[in-house]
Amino acid sequence: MDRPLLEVKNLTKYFSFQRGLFRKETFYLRAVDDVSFSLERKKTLGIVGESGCGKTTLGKTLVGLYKPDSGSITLTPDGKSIDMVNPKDDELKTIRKTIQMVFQDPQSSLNPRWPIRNIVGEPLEILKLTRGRKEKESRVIELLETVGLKPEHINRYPHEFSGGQRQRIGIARALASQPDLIVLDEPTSAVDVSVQAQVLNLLRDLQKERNMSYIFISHDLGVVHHMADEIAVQYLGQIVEYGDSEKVFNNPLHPYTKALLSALPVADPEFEAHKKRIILKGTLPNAINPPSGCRFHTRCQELVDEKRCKSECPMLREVEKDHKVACWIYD
Amino acid sequence: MSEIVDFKKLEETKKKLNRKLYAQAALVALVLILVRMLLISRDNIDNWGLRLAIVGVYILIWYLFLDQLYKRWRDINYKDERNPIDRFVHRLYHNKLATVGLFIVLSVAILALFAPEIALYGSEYQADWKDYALMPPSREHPFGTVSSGEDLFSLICYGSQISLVLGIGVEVIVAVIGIALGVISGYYGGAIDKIIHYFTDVIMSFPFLILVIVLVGALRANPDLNERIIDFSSSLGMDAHLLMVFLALTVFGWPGIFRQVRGQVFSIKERDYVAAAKVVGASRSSILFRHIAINTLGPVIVVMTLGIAGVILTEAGLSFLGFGADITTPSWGRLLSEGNSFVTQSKYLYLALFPGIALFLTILGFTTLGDGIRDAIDPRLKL
Amino acid sequence: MKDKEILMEVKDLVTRFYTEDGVVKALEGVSFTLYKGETLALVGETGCGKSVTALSILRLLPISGKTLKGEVLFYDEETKARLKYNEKGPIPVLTLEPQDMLKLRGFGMSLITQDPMTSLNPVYTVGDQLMEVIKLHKKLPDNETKKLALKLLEDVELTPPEEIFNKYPHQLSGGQRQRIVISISLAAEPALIFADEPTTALDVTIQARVLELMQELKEEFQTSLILITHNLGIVAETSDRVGVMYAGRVVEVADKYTLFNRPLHPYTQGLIAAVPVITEKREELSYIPGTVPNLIHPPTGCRFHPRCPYATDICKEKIPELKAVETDDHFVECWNIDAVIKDLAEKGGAC
Repeated sequence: MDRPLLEVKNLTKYFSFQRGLFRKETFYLRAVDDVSFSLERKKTLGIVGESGCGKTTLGKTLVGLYKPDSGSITLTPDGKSIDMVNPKDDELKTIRKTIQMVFQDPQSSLNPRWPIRNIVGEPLEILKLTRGRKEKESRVIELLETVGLKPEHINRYPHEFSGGQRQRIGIARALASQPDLIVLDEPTSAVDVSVQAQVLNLLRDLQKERNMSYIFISHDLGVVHHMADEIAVQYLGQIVEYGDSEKVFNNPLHPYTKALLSALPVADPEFEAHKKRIILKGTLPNAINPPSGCRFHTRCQELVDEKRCKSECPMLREVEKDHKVACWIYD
Repeated sequence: MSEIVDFKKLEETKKKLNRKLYAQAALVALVLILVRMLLISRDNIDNWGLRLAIVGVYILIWYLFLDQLYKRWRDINYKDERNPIDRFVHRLYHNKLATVGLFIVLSVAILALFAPEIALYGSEYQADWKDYALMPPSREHPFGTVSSGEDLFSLICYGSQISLVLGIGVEVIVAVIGIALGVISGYYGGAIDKIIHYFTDVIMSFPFLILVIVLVGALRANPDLNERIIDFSSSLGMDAHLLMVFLALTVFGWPGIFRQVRGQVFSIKERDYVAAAKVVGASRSSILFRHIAINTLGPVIVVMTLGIAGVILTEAGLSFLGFGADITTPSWGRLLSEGNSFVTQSKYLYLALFPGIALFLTILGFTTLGDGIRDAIDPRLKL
Repeated sequence: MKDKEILMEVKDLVTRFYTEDGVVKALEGVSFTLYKGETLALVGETGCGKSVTALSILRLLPISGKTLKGEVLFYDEETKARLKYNEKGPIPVLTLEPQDMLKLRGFGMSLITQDPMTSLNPVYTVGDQLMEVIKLHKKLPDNETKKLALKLLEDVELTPPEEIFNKYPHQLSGGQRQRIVISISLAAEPALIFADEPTTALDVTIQARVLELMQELKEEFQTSLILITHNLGIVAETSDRVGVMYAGRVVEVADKYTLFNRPLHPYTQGLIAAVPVITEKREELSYIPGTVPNLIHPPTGCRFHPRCPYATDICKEKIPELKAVETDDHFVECWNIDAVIKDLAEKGGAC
């Protein structure tokens, strides 16, 4: 119980591909670059960033869909630590039971040719959590009811459900193995506001009931603010700010975080009218050839030491308790 | 809690009703098939008008039976949304051309199934038919007779069996190979994909027609091999050279489906439900077939339908050239080649006309049906 | 109070889609007024009909859609001149001949859609596409056309304009493409621009800049903007007045401060309460029970009644009318508006 549930240290994932006539040049897309954080039980970590920052790749690497190039991921579900990068064969099953994922697109996250009973029942079957058809069926019904669906839905097909309902089915599937940690990749981006509210409430209730942790990946700061205890801001593969959610939102330190917060439209006209607007110049640099030194320097509005920012890449440093930043301003 | 109890009872009743329905259906089907087998002894009934009527009634009974079965099944398993089968059928019927195609295909299928009944004369050749050679169409011979004295109409009926068996047989085998290879190639990518793909390209670039001609020609030139193959194939009940054609079509037919499936697999394997299966720890084969292959079937059926048309046409062409069916097999292509020699004399036009029309209609039917299925499956098409 | 000259009046638009699943009653009597120079936001969830409204007014509905009833009155003098419309009073948009409609689109009203990838033709350079629009509506000699095109590119901050002019859509980023689309829509200097979820496909930081840009251009070109979105944050940021739509009707219209501080329609209240806002921390997000209705078989009477906490019998029978409540520019349609106001007073005014 001493170690956090999940510890990620210096996690790196590159994608390589070759260009050039005879495949001479190899390019590396640095999707996840030296990422470190830890997650306690019953807590939610929000990972925010815009498209291309690598948060989806990070999520998929955590779940095991990608193999990291370097760094470590340590999972400690019950006292014993498991190395997720090179697990032993008998640990694989534990990993799969412990960590699950909910996907973004309700259209493509469920196999259109499978009935719901098979979709939600697949984890039960593969992980051998139930024996026989009847047990599996009753367990599936239980899960469906937990997410607010009805028992008769088990024989239906995904196309018969709305987007919000499909997301719930995805959540039911993730819950099937009673995981300790769920990675949610933009779970509410594709649904309407009121459906989003229902899904978020459901997620919070489930977290309380089942002592689960979440890694909540989103580009929507409003949603992350609502859900997360801790937040990590990602830019071009690196974490630029990381800390307690309230602290980061009330006192953003990294210029990118500040810009992100100012760009977020808030449903409060008075707030909007008096908001200080920070407009980032330039566009997102190419992830294959990121800027030297601090990757954000090409767009930074608070460039403090041009030489240093262009040549040296800052590390995450604790500026106040539970609040780290990777920026030369705070040296 | 009480909701679950109600639901369980509902499910139980549904299951019981379904079981009853299936048992009844099986019984009726069995009876109908027995009746059909009795009908095979067509020597009992000579008047072909009566025969056609009996066949017609038989088909009508089956249609009614299936219709009732479907309706009952639907009542029991009622869902308040329109299921995809209904939607597909609805869309298909909206497409007039496709409906005509479907009708043609079904007619040919019935013709093939009931050829012994519908044909006027048996399939065993009788010596005294030589006297009736090359007679123009008449009441006893609606399509006339060919040079060997056989009735053209009966030959065309039996010919439909050849075309359909060949067409469907080849396509099914080709589909199995094509899907299997396509899924493996598309999923693994890399070296495996390159090898399989290259191999497929090689097969595709073979001059198919020439290859078959060479094969058959080589066989004919080698009498021993020829003997052995003829024995082997007659044990299968098939004409030796036709068997060659069948094999050749199978071996060279799968690249089309392979490419189709491989292309689809590239996009399917990126879908979230595949990732979800991986996260849960599904085995490779489970992912490949239960998740990916199953989702490629839609367009594959379209390619298959069009493929059947292609096979029929190719077989007809080869038989026409003399490289397929021989004199004992009433392939439409072979009949056409006979008619070809007489085509300059308008008196004998019927020899080429009827096989030609049969071929034309059949291929047209399959092609339009395939187009119709493709349109009906496409989710973006809005009526 | 600003100078309130009316630019467009929409009255009782009824649009239906005839599909194989049945008749979709997409718009069931949409009415609102648009003033010159303002930004009106049309807010609602998926399926409420906000995009369909824009398409109905522009008469760009797909084949299965038909506008059965309603009037759209367009008061722009310049457009009247262009169409050679000599009668007194506004242009009745829905009854124009097709050739007049062609002149109206682009010159009187234009449209920015959500996905710039599909509204730009991938085989032509962006410069060519921009010039095409200019040529359609302005009779200028060729070099003048190009000059105008370059100026427009500069206006939307695509620099250097000569370079961008020769690029193809796939060579530009999402934000850049959207700016091209904006410049195309401004090319003929229309009096009204419909922007249908213009920034949904863009990143937050780019979105902020694009919205700001649209506001600036709106001022410069003196255009009115109808901003269609489901994002209440954007509404609070960019609009002047707001129209809330639900299931094919406009249920509330007010200026944005009034709408957020004192929403009167139960749906608006529910919607605002469901959005997570950074400025406050909420334990639970309240949400509206039930789901958006099926428009093939919509509820009778007021379409919101199955989900409304204030529903009474009359709500099931008749659709309420949009009426001015409390002030003469706050419109709500609800039979039980008095009960709602009473509740608000008890809870302490703001929502």
